[in-house]
Amino acid sequence: MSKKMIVLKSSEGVSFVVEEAVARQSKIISFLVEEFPDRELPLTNMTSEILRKTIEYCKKHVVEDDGGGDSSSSSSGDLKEWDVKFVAEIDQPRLMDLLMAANYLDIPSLLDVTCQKVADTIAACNDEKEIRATFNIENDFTEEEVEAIRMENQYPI
Amino acid sequence: MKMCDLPKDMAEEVLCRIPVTSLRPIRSTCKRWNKLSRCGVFAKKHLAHQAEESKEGRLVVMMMDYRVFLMRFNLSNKSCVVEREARLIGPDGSDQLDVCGIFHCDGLLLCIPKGHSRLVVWNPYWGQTRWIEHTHNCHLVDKYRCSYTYALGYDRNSKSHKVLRFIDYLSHFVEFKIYDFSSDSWRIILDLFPRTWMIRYGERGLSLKGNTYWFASDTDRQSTNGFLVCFDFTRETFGPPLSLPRVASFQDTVSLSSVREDQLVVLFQTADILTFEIWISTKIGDDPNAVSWNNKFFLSANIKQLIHPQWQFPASASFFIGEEKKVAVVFDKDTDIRNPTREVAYIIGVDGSLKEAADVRECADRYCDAFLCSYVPSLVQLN
Repeated sequence: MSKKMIVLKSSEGVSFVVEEAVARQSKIISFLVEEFPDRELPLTNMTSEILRKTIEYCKKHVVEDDGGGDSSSSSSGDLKEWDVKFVAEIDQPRLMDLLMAANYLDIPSLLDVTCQKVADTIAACNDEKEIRATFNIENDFTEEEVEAIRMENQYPI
Repeated sequence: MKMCDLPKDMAEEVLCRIPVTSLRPIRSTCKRWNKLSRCGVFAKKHLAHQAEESKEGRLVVMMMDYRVFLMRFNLSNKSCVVEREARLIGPDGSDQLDVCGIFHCDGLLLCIPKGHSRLVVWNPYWGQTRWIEHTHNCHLVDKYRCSYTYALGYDRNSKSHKVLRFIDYLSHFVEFKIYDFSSDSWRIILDLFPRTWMIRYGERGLSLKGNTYWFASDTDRQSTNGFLVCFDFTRETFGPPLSLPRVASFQDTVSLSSVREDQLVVLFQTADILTFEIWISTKIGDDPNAVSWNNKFFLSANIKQLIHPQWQFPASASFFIGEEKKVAVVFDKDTDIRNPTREVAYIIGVDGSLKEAADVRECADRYCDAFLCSYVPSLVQLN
């Protein structure tokens, strides 16, 4: 039996033909496929680059139903390792885009790995100065506010 | 997209995954994160993630050389790694406060500063503190060269926290006092007598579900029998002696810890150092006057062979267990008995093997035992 394919269209109008099982990891696509079968699905706020990455992730994580019950294409340990590598290779702005895409398409596991990657990067910083530099965040505190925070925030971990 | 362009709900998704040790820099990064990290909804989400993470690593507060540190021990790999470490900054805004005792209950730390001038209770998650004034009976304390023992618990009806401070120097100097957070005052408890047992100085209590458990022993000189007693912070009195899973005397090392905040764990090492066992209780219910134990010990080991022929862990050894990883982590000095210089985590497997002696950090005082307790962050408000 041939696998059912669906077409996803990026904001640039590029079409991606994907196995339905792969795309269905997105709860939104799953819903849309049922509502509008046999239709091309336009994802107007996703660039081709991010859509390609998202599909790459979904392909790796698809659980194949081969009739004998569910079996993942990889073991969970391998998958975890693959995820770590997958997010490590993405630069920061694209990681944020991918995170937004995971949220938009409702793919919880992808949202988790992308958020965790950002959180780990924050945790690896030694202090707030390093966090600001790493993420290009402006220090919008006034001198007085810094002092006030220092005083009220003197005990946290 | 940039980090600062993330919508609020996505920034929250990211920040709720940071370790508690990164909270302080997060709050100081920008106004938006400062505000977000103080919101109750965020904090709940953050703690839920922490609880998930704690399956792999254990958050521990360590007091050493009068300083307090927060650490995470990760037991997920074959070795034990101190993953992250943060210094708890003293409640005077600097790191100059010397702390000589800590007690954990419900995400709050009771810190006893050196000199015992004022006590401070502190929720490190919120960065809130509450100072508690108290008076000493200096004359008697000096005369008997004894010192107060402290515990922190709460009333299960009102959820109001309380501090217990006592000296149990039977027939010479006995005083039990309670400080109630809701009334901000101390009162003496008088109806504890007569008792036939005492909690010896140096015993460390353990709070579980708001009540504190101690190892206690008969005052009758003919008996060396030891058992547990529980101070019920709701009724403000001790319950009857609670039996231990095996016979113990006051000369033995008997130390308490907990798992999942609802089961007691007790470590035994007999004074002749031949027996070393760790037992887990069944779930502690709402009745603090009842404890039952699992039928079989969690772990039994031959410490003489594993560590050193004369190895006796301190009377109130600090330890915790990793149930899933089937190990116990016991803290003590290194095995250079005459001149130890390091604090070490001895990781003992349930098969009775020493998995690892993981170096924790350098210690300045060879006579002073480091003290560790599990820390479970909570959102309790102090004011």
